[in-house]
Amino acid sequence: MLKYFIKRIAYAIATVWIISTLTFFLMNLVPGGPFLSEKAPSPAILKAMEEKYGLDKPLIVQYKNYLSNVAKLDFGYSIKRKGRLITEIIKEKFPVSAKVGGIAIITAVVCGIPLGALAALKRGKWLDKTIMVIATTGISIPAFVVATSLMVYFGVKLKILPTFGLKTPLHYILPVFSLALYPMAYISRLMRSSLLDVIGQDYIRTAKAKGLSGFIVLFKHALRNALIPVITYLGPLTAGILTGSFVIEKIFTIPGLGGEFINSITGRDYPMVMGVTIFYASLIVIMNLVVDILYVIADPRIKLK
Amino acid sequence: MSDNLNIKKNPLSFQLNVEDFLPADEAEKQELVIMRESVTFWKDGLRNLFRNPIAMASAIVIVLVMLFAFLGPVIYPYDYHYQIRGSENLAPMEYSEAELAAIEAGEEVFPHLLGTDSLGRDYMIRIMMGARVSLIVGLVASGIILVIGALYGAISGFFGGMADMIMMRIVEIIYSIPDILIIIILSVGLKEPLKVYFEGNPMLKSISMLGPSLIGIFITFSLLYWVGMARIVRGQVLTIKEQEYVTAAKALGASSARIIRKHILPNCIGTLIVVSTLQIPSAIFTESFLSFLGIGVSAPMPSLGSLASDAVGGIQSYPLRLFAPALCICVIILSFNLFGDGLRDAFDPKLKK
Repeated sequence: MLKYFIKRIAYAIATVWIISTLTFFLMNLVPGGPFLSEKAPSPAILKAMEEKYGLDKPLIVQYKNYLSNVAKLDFGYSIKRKGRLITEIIKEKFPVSAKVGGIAIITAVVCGIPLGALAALKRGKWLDKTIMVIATTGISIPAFVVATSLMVYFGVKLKILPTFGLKTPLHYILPVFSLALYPMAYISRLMRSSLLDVIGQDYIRTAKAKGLSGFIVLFKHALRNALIPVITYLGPLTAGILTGSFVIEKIFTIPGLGGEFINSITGRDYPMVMGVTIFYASLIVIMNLVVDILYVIADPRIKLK
Repeated sequence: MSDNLNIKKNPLSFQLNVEDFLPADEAEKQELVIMRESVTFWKDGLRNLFRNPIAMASAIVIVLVMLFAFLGPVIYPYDYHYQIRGSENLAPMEYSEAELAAIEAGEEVFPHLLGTDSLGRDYMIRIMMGARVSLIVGLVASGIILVIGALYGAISGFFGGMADMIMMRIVEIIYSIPDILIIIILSVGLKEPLKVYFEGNPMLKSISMLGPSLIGIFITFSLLYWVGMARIVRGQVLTIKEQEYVTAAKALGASSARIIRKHILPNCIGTLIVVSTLQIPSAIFTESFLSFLGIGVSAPMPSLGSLASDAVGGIQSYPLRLFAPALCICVIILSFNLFGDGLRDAFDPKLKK
């Protein structure tokens, strides 16, 4: 058990290191520095700026400095937002994204599981077919299509829901729904097939033969095992919600980290891009780690290697 | 009957009836054949597929979309990057003043089926080109993934042992890398270097027509997405490897390469087809996502994602400009998803998730 956790943690660190290295070298490959965008500054100022941000040193030295700073959780200063620490920006913007994303994850799980279970229990009936049609459509519509269509219909045409910012709870409805639709549809499909799989197993027949009520068979025997594939999906789900937030925050002008990330990419704010990438990557890697551990707790049959 | 055989038979004797031992004639032989024509794996799968109305309907939609995207621009009289002065922001089927004058003068002017955009470019052709970009991305990316993933998985599963362990550790690490983040960073990082590379290389002119960012997308897809395929193929290979016919081939002295080529890969083919078909919509999904964020294909080449993204600003005045590309993406992804599901049910029921 301990060996397994150590191995997983080693992997997690290796992953984050690979991502930071890749990010660093790719960002340096891009021609056109961050100071070239608007008015071209004079060569002297340019040189001073490069010196200030350490961009004049050889690449390998920059890389070394960078890695040691990352290990200290210090991503340096943002170039576009002068004088602001990247850690500070993340601290300020991430809670906004996390709130919207967290609500979306909960919505997806809370709605997706019962829908999938219902479809499996009513297999072949119209209810199953309706849910599956909706779910299949749900995994075929990109988030930006959902978001823009909802915005046009509810925000512009009917004018019943606000379309930008996050001032009141009403503001959360559209972004959360647009973020949650895809994972919700995915979870209900996953849940349906895994429950169907479990219901066909021998131990369910045994439980029924013992005379247990349908309710106990479902909740005590079937659902517990059927949830395992859904748990494994929680890691990718977090990643999906995080990346989905790039688009959703852009569309609904939410002042979160996702929108900030996209802006820093187009603005070539290298330290910011690297900082946010490593932050997000670590978040996803940690989520995957947590899911792996949950997985073992939920299903004792899984042997740790 | 017995009268033409002329054998007298004592009713009480044990003498055998000669009739019973006559050679059977053709009709009798036919009657005894109880075997139906043997059904191969392919015939069986195809029959299941043809019986599935949803899969067939989506296959037809896919063919129609392909015609629309690849044949459409050839027939259609407008060009996707040609800006017609004076024809900006036309509604569907509307003509500009200059075009009306031309019609008055007896010339034939092809109507703008979906109007024009703010730069006077015909919108229908831009959607056709966008659909083309999406399809190319989906097909090429899943082709690349198929080749890399199948080879890697087959080698890893077949040789096992140390090689398998190292190869699977690599897969695990790549698997845990958040894909979209890396795709965004790679496509941003590779865009300029690729542009420089292609401009300096006239031999690659035809590839560079696709645009450096599209090639960046292919590179990133092929770097990251093959791991899922490799895992599935490895699992298949591990089971096939233990089958008797592989042992027999080994005993007969067949080389590893021959066994992989002749025995293992053909037996994985059902899975390969299913997984790569389902890979197409996810590649299209990712491409439209990137283009929507403005880091996909580069202007003037349109993509369904970038068309939708451009339309968001003018949503109140020109909602059609958002809905047309959005609908197009949904139809493409949905039909590939449904067709892939149908293929899976027909060829590889075990894979059902």
